[in-house]
Amino acid sequence: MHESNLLHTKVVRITRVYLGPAADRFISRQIQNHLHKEPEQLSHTDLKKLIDWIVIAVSTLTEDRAIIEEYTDQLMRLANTKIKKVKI
Amino acid sequence: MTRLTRLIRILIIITAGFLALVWLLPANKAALHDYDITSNTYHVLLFIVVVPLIATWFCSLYGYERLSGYARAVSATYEGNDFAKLSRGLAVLLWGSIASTALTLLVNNYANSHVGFLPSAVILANYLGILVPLVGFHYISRGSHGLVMHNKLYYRTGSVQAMILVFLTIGVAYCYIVFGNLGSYSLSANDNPYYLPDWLMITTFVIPSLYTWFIGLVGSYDLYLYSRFSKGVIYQRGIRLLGSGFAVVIASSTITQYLRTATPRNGHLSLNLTLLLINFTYLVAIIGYVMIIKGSNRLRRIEEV
Repeated sequence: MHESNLLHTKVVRITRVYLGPAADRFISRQIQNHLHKEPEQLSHTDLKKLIDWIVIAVSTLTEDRAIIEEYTDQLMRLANTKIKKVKI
Repeated sequence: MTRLTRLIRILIIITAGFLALVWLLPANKAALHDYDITSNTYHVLLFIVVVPLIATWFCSLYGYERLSGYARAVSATYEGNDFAKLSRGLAVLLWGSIASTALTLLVNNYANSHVGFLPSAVILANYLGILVPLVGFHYISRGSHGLVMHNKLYYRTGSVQAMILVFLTIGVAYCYIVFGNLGSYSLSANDNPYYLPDWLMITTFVIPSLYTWFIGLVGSYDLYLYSRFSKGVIYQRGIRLLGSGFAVVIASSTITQYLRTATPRNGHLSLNLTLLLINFTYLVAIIGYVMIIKGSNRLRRIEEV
């Protein structure tokens, strides 16, 4: 599987814990509106910038700091982990 | 002009027309005699009585607009259709309530000067009182069940048993009261406060009423199930508010119908405990609509940021 697609899938999977069925649409919107890319084009170098925008967006959805921090931590852990390239 | 502004303007015009009817139509002679009041006092009392109802119309409109906006935002998803049905249910409850209230006011007024028309007025008011929630709850039930089916959620045995018990308790008590009001030993007799033969009352009113309340109860439970087991901590908070709001609106509508049938209509304003309780249910309905508004706003914000 392409690295970008895998990365996008992992980000959506983490987000689903917080935004449920809206996760995919939310992440796609952040990538398109703030990174000016298609979701499949998300790269590892974009992740930290994407996380910053996600934190701003999620802060408008909830005042629960614990949830925002937990969500951010999970995304940061993903950003600090290298995605292994899978040979097809 | 936003859609909400346009809808509010329409409702303000309709409400103004309704209030004009309330004020201008002649006072009911039986009520003037029963309470020994003047025509002006009657109109003032009627005005005060309809204020909570009008407040529910505006809250209902706002709730409908918020939820239908969310349904449009997620229209491309499998759940969009289900939320659209939920909002359609709210629309039916709103516009149906307005139409049936205005029509009831007009036919009661006609019966005021044409006494022979009173049975027809009571029959029409009773049927309108059940038809609107029947259609509204049908849409709500379809929408909520769609959410449950699409997420492959299952009813728990204990919950189903509790639902059946609640429904049986409500239904049996209702039948006891209505059959007590019917009071005859013949199915074809119509010398009762509902002006219908007993068999017709049972088949076209009691059974549809019970069916309406059952689908309302199941619809509420489906929304509870969806809100409990849907994924997403933040998403859940919006859905829970929405589900709770619908449960409160359905419960208040059910209680209103219950009270209106248990205390038979007489075609004019009756200042009794039933009226007080019905107005209390309108205030409860307002709380329900506020929860629907808050829940819809939370869900919409997720789709907008």
